[in-house]
Amino acid sequence: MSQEAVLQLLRDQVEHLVDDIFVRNKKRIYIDTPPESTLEVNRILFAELGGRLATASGIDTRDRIEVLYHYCLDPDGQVVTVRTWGWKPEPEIDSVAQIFPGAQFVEREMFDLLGIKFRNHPDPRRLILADDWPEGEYPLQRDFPKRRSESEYVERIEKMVRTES
Amino acid sequence: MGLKLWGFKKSPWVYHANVGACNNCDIEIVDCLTPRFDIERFGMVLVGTPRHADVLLVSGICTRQARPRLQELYRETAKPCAVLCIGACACSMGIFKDAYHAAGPVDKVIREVDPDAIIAYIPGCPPKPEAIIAGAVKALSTL
Amino acid sequence: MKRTVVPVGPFHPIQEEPEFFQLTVEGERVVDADVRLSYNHRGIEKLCQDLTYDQIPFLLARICGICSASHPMAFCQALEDLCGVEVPMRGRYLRSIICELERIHSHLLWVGLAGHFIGYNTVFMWAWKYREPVLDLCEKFTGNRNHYENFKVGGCRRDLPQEAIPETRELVNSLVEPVTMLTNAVLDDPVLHWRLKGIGVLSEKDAKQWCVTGPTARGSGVKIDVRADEPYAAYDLVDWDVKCVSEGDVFAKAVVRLLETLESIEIIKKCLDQIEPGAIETEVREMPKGEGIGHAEAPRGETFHYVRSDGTNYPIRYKVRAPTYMNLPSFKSSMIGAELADAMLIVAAMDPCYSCTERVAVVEKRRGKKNVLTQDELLARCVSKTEKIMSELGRKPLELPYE
Repeated sequence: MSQEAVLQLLRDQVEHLVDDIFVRNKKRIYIDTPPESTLEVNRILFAELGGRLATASGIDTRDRIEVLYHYCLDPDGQVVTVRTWGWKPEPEIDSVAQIFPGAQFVEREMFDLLGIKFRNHPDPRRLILADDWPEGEYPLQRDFPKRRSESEYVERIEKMVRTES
Repeated sequence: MGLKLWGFKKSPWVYHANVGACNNCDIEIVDCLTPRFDIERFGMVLVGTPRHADVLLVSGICTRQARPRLQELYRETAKPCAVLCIGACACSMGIFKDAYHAAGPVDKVIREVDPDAIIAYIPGCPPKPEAIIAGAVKALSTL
Repeated sequence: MKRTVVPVGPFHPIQEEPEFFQLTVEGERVVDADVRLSYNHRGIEKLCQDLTYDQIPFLLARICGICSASHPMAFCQALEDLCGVEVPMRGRYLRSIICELERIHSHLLWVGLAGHFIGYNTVFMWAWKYREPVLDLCEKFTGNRNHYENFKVGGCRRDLPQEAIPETRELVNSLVEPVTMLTNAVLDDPVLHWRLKGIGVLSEKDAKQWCVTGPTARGSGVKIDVRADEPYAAYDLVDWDVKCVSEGDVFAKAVVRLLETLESIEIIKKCLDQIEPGAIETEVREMPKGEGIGHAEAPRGETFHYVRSDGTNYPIRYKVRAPTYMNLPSFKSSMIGAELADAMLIVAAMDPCYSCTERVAVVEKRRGKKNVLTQDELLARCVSKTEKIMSELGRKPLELPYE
């Protein structure tokens, strides 16, 4: 499918559900989707357009946690990204893993690292952080210190681990 | 020297553990078994359980999740045993020293269990198989 | 029937990475499987936020020892998508040559490991012996056997000297015969047919549901390959084919990888024929604000990188997704119903690279009696099944010419 054909399909099927369809260049399309439509838009991209979920990226911006679902429309190499978000301080969105299982791991990872909850996720367990990693500490959030060697971080985390064990 | 030490130096059995590495050091370790380097002619054999091992080859920064397992592994290994830290990550965590999920380089983790552990360092990213063999021979000959 | 939980891992001698599988079995059949990783999680995405765009490829190469050219390649794709720079022709050919050399030695490594798992240790020694000249060549060009560090935004760091081209051509030509012989041996050996066919089948529908990539997908009839779908480097400048088989079992995946190795050799030869002297990089001085997405075909599948930049030297967010991350969960479909003796083989057929994955943790629930098997015992089961088949067919082990 060429980019024009993809755009036409998107305009027919999802334009009424989304805020904006932005064409960045010949192979990249970004769709800004409000949280209430995210499930339907993802379903259309997976089931109707035949997209393959490449991955999902989570980003902590100042007031919301954005989740970007990247779909590859393989034969032509188009990558369509669905950008949705959950508002802080308690970010939550609907889980796409209800539609297909390929999204399970990446959503679990985003919860571990960013703290965004996915409603109706079939298997919401800890994925990539250690068993003794304290709850409520999300490493990829903006205020989590970058350098382990910062003494404040080491003291804070080690104290939490010691009191819990 | 006693029989145990003689056996240890003449034909060390090695057990390999990856505690959070990119896997390149591990491939170079397994490469030592292949026909070009062939450590089996020195009597070094890769064994499947630490209870039979004389030498622990450890690669990787020790991640938080792997830390208790590494300590358990060290306790289970038959003594006397030598720990060889293979690669920059095991020696000093290398470029991952600021990682939030790291629990310290391998020697710090092992010395929590046994402050007198015999630890040797083979730096490199990855160390070539020749370097690994040279390092192992050097470590064993100092015993 | 009583259910037993069999833990596999986290450390064992031949599967180099640590992972902890929890298989729930009834008798000899696997009825459920779970995996806990996290042993390899090093927090690379967080580290990237503190490094400049020049420093990040060095970190990304160390995500994984074998995909150490693919991650920097995807990085370059993402940043070139962000800033829109064109790579000169010679740089594109060099990138393809290095990526294909990596694919060859990675697939040979896999062939060796798979051979070891089923008990063909000669194949293991032999395949790894033939990897060595490839690694020597990489060391000659790039300075290191594995972490090449040859890619940067806009091109390559080091050039290939003209006098090295005939040497490279001679090396890849010398690999054709052994790989062809191995491919034919696998295709003709009835023991391997009995041992590997029908094991760990991943249907095309499941492959799409789990969104798998790479040889795991191409072995199930899903014909996707980033090099063909969105060509990068020199893949649109040379003629080559995507290899795809539809059965979805371990045998199909082995065949796909062997055929791909032969195809990689052809791609390298064509690149060497077409490469011409010239610049290898376009200088990039600044990164604009925006987002970039890049993907590349690693030996295991598609690596996918996403970058968001605010115009400074450091990314706000750098997302890495390695191929095994999408391929690994599909073992839920391919392992359920299989025999315990085949469990290791099914995982190995996905060619997992946990260092890339660095995650996946599952806390196991205890059901019934916990029966602990050591790795030697599991490997022994895998090998003894092969021997049983061999004796049933009245065959000797696979014999290969040994120099």
